[in-house]
Amino acid sequence: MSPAPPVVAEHLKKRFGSVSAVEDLSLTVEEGKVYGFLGPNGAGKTTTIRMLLGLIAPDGGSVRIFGHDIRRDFKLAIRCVGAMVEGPAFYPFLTAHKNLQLFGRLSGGVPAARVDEILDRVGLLRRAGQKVGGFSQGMRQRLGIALAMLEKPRLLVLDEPTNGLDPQGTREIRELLRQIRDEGETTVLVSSHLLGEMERICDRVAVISQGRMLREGSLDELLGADDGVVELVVEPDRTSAAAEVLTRRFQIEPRRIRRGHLELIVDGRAGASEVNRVLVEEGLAVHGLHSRRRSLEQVFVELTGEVSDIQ
Amino acid sequence: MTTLLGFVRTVARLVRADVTKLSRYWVVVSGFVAIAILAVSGMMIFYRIEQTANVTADSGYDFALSVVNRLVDVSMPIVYVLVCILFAIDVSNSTVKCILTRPVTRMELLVSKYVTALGMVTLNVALLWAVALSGGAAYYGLGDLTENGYVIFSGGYVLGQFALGTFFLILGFASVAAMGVAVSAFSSTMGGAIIIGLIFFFVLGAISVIPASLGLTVSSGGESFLLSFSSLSLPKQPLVPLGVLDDLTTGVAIESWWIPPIQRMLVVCGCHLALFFTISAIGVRKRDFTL
Repeated sequence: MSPAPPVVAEHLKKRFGSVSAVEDLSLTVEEGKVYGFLGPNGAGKTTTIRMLLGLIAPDGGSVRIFGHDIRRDFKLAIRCVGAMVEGPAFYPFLTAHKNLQLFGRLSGGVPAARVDEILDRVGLLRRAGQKVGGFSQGMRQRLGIALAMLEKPRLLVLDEPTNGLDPQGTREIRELLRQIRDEGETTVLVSSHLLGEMERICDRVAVISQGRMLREGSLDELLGADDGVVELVVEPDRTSAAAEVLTRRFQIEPRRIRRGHLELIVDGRAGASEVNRVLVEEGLAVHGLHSRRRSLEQVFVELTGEVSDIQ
Repeated sequence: MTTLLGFVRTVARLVRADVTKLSRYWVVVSGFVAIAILAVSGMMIFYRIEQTANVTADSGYDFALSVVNRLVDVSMPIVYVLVCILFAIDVSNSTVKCILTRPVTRMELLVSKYVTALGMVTLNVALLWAVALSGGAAYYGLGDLTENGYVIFSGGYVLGQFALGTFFLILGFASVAAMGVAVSAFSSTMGGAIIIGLIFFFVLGAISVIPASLGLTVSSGGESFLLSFSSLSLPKQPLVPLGVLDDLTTGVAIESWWIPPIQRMLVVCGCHLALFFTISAIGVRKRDFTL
């Protein structure tokens, strides 16, 4: 029998008064993957995550964490989970170390060495003895991730983990998530409206808007497979010469030609390399040659028609 | 059995976590420091008044009991305010979501708050007795209770009765604390918890000033009973055991603690405790922690 998936949510529904926050939402997170949960602010991401973790009761549907129903077998289900939901939360009058130790104690206790180790991993070891009240938003965010990872969970749920972080902090969190994915021991469910970040780290994504699941799938499924469309950038006044070389040497007719830019279809990476080699051989300076695969942002806008909240 | 053991273990962990954080939270520390200062200064002032008025009973026990009797009334609102923030501190800091995303059920969290509240009440009463008995020992001595050179009660007996009275006092206090936890369980901010909590405290306390002759007359089996409104009061109820102890220091032995005033106190406080626990349990179980 195959092990139960880390998360199986079926037909989740949640209303706040007359507002429907989540409507018939189902998702499955596979083990060892980074699952991105995308949507603009107010799409229902946090509400869904709260339901997944049992913080709020759904009006309909069910959630199973590693096969355990979150409502009926809460302790068994939540024991495998580390989470940071809608921003980090700590006691401001306690130090970073004491906060982690205190919350770790609730699960049976965590050795001080593990607290130091996880603080080191998020770059806060030197601040371990400082009170959290004096921490910046970025430091709190990293401490929140440290708390979620404290007990080496099998499922890590991070709600907007890069909120409030500067570009360097965002890069560090991205690297951290990559490391976790590469280690392969932890499944990650991460929500964000930062599509560029999600595209870099997720194996599989779900796009939700107004509480409904619009699309779910692997990045390849969502963005379209690499269909060989590449954009070639050359000297603007050599555009025609480049088009002529492509036709003569490869029998390729560029699909679109603008001054200095040619869009063409080549046969995989090897084909692109060959085009580059021949153009250089013909005395043409190649300034760029890159895939024209759609970005997650383009897909998102196509699906939701929303552009204001996403980056 | 395993489930119960697991429940107790988790509650113990939560209480320990509460003690860790509250002992480092300036509001709580200041509250208990204020109680300690109040106890010491109150005890010294009370001694001065006794000396000036020349109405001393020359007994350390009598002095200690008088001090506790007066100070417990003053310290109770302070402890009650501290209890009011027990749940609110986790809701206002949003740390409740960190707690509830660990293997902790809402019921365990709630019970742990009640246990912590009981601990705070016990600490308050213990602090008052410690100061009062120290004062009694320093000013009058704490040997056997004598009158005209004759031993009425041994010191051990008096202290034993004091301990029993304190036990009943804490039981009564627990129901007051339960009101604080119940208010706290519905609050999202500490300020809100304190304000609403104090309103409840003084409204329920005010009922005790209603004459005992006012109430509802209920007929049963041809007989009429008066259900006095004053017996619905809460803050004054726990002081009944101290009234019982008053007789002890005047030389009257306490034959039984199971007397009508104590029974009534236990019934009233028990009903309040059950009511507040039920209300807070419903609130915590149903509440969406959309923080």
